[in-house]
Amino acid sequence: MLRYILNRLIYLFPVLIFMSIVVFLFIHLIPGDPVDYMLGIDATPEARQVLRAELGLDRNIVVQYISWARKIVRGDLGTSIVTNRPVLQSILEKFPATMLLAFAATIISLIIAVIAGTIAAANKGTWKDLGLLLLSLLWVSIPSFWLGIMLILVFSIEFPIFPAIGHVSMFVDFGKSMHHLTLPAITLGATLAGAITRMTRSEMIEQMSKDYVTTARAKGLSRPVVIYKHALRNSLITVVTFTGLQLGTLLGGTVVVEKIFAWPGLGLMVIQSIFARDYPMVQGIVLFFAFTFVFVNLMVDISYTFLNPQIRLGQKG
Amino acid sequence: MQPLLTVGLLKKYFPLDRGIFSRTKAVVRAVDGVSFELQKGETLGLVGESGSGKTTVGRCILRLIKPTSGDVLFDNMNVTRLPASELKKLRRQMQIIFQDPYGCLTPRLRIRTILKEPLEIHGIGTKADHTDRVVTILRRVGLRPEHMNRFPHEFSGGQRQRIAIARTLMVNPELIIADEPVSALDVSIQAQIINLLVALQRELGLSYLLISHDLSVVHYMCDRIAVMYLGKIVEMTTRSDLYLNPLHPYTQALLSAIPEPNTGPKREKILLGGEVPSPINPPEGCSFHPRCNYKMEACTKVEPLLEGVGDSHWVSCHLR
Amino acid sequence: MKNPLLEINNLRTYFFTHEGVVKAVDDISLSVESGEMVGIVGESGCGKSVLARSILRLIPDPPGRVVDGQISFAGNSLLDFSEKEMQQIRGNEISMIFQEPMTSLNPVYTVGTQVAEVFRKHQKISKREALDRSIEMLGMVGIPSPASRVKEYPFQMSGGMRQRIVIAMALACRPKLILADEPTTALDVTIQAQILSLINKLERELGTSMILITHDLGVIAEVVARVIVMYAGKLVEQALVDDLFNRPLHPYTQGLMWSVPSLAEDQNKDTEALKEIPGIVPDLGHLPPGCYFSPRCRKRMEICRHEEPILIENLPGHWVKCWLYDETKRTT
Repeated sequence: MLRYILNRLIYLFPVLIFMSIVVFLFIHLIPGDPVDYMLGIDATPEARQVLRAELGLDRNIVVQYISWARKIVRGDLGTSIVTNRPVLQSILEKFPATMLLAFAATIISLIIAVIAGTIAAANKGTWKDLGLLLLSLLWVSIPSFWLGIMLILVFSIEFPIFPAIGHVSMFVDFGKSMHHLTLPAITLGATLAGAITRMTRSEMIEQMSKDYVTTARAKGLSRPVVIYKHALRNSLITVVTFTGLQLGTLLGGTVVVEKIFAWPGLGLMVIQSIFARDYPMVQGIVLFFAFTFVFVNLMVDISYTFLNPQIRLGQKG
Repeated sequence: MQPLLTVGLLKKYFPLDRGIFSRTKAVVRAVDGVSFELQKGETLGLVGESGSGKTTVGRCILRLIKPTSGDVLFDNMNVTRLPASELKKLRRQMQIIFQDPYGCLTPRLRIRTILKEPLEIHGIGTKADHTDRVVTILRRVGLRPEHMNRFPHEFSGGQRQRIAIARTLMVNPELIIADEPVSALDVSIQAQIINLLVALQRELGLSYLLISHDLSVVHYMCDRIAVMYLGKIVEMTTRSDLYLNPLHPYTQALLSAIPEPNTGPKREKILLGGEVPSPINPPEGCSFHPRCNYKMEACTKVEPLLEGVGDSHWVSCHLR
Repeated sequence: MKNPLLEINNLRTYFFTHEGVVKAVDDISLSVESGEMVGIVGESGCGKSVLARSILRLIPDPPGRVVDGQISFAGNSLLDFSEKEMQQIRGNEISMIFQEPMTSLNPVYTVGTQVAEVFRKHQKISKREALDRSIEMLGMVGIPSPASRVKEYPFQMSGGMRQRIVIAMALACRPKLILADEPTTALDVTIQAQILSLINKLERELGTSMILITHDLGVIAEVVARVIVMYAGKLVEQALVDDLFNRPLHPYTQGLMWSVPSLAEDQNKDTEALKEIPGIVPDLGHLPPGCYFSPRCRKRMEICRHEEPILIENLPGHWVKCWLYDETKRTT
């Protein structure tokens, strides 16, 4: 098992490096000259030259990358053009809010979707199954901005159950924090829930057709035990993998959801930074998201050691 | 007479991927020094249980897998050293039938396309000739010409195996390697396919290397038989000699284990203890000794060599 | 005449598919006495597996269903049992062993857990006790060092070992009847010999009845006392083992026996061709009229093409479903 984890960690580095190159190039592929945006079109060529030199934009692109990468490793993600504060600091301030939201959305979706997918698979072909499939299709298709606004309209304005905007830290007031978290988490998690439902369903259908399930039934075990203890346990690996991969889309979704609910997280900040042409900030946040994604998937890989005994004990079979 | 196929000290080791941190590179010794000859028109049986390496031998001979060491000489060509460009010529003379009739035919192609393919690959004959040949061969394997317009899924397992056999015959090969050709078929269909293979051999002068775990089939079809265990040949001799006078303890156990479909007193079964050991860590000395009822001191230390005892009967065992 | 432990009467299990009705088991009657070993022989598609699963009511519905017949076990009518009542029977009074040891066990639980599960379900014992009994079972089926191996996962065991675990699970609650569906087909021949020897030994010691399903006539000859032969969902011959091998009556049974090359010195490719059965097994969705075997039968008569034969007792205890043995219908 240790060997497996070590392997995964080693592979982490080339991935991170490659990702940083991609992020770096992305920013540079945006049309337009950042200097123009920052100074305006009627800036003098000299002023431009000065700023360019300051930002290091006059050097060779490989050199630019290397110097940027060096700074990243030291934790220096640059300085925000708008606030003049270090990017990393701003990110770390806003990160907990986004993490809370993403986490809540994932947990809610996972629990609901896995149960829904299992029920659908266990009742394959019946109305229950069709209904759940349709529902999941709906959740996957509904655009999050529409859903968010609808939820606000119904549950905040029509029936004032949940607050529409704002965020309260967990550590300040847990109850209030959860209250604020509800609508945005549901909005963010909806698409994910639909996708996981379908994934769980198809994986469960496959597992339930396997021989060991027939053996379990032949032992006289009850249907719930066969489904949950035997088949679902084997489906988890695929479901967990899938969820980890969906995190990328989820993080992307925070951009919209945070804007709608005025949730002060990275998503909101990245939008604001894009409009403000705050390149270092945008770059920093994108890089941060990318690294988070890689890190979470590493955790998913490591979780296999708990889910799959063959990996835990080193393949012997 | 020069044998059609000569295999000399063939070895195939598969490295076990243990990741970046493994110090010892473990290997699976699938084939560990196999030598034999096959004469033209002969059927040689390669018999063994799982892990014996018999399938790997077949693939190495065709160079579907590259051997780790050793030589394969076919019709005066050294197969192991052949450059890739020459391999095509070789493949025309050596063909293979696989075990799984359901997996060996491309499901999206019609039978006629599947059968014409070998002719196209080797550039034999004109387009008009191709169709004629397909018809001829289909008839020969017991199918009808109109079958060529159908898809594989429209046929039963036995019929698909006939198509697979037809495919090998398209290019007029000298040697056919049959890797468990009837194991996946029902008993009554097995008989049909076995009869077909025997008839074809007689008509066309084919040579067969029959790889199988089924000793009854091997007994019926083969002239000579080699018994494999953990990558090595432990006994090799003519058919009658093997079944009347098996010398190696493993062969004896193997033969006694076959359930007999008849009444009357049954053979005393020699039950082997333990499991088939892993080809990753074969035992020292004779690889069979942990399960052998006759083992001696020498067996645990020194590996026995394949030696001739009497008329073309070879055994690797210290008891001899 | 004792009351048989298991009595199946006129069982019909059909599958209702898009392409039509598949009569997998079509009017099968069979009985098993206490302590008896009965074999069911047939090739793929003959319905033998479906028959076994019908007994335990493991047929997936849809698309399959038992449409007719009675199954009586120890005086109870199994077809009338609820699902909950069947769960009391499965693994407890009647157990089943399946063909593929590589996939029959759950890969994410230890073998000990899986064996203990049977105890915990059917007997009111503690976790600790269930584990102890599981270790005992592992020992009984010949697994060396059972106390340590009980913690292993299936992937750490060979095919033969896994099959022993499956047998351990089946025997745990000392069932009265075991259904063994091709238990050794997927195993190497030397391992098969070990497992068959184990089955024979356990049967002698425990007196469990068994229905052994296989396509291998050799296995039948080694293990069972009585045999039925199935073809395309029908029972075509039934006899004591010795009678069947000495005097196979049905042309299909004869064909099966001749198809298997023997190890006799004088039977090989140079001496004679194998007496094959021509043609292929019929599609169960499109069965021929009359006797299902008639299209492939060398001895068929006119009546065989039109009328399905009746099961006749040709000799005491030897039944055959073939017009050749009905004097009134025989034509020369």
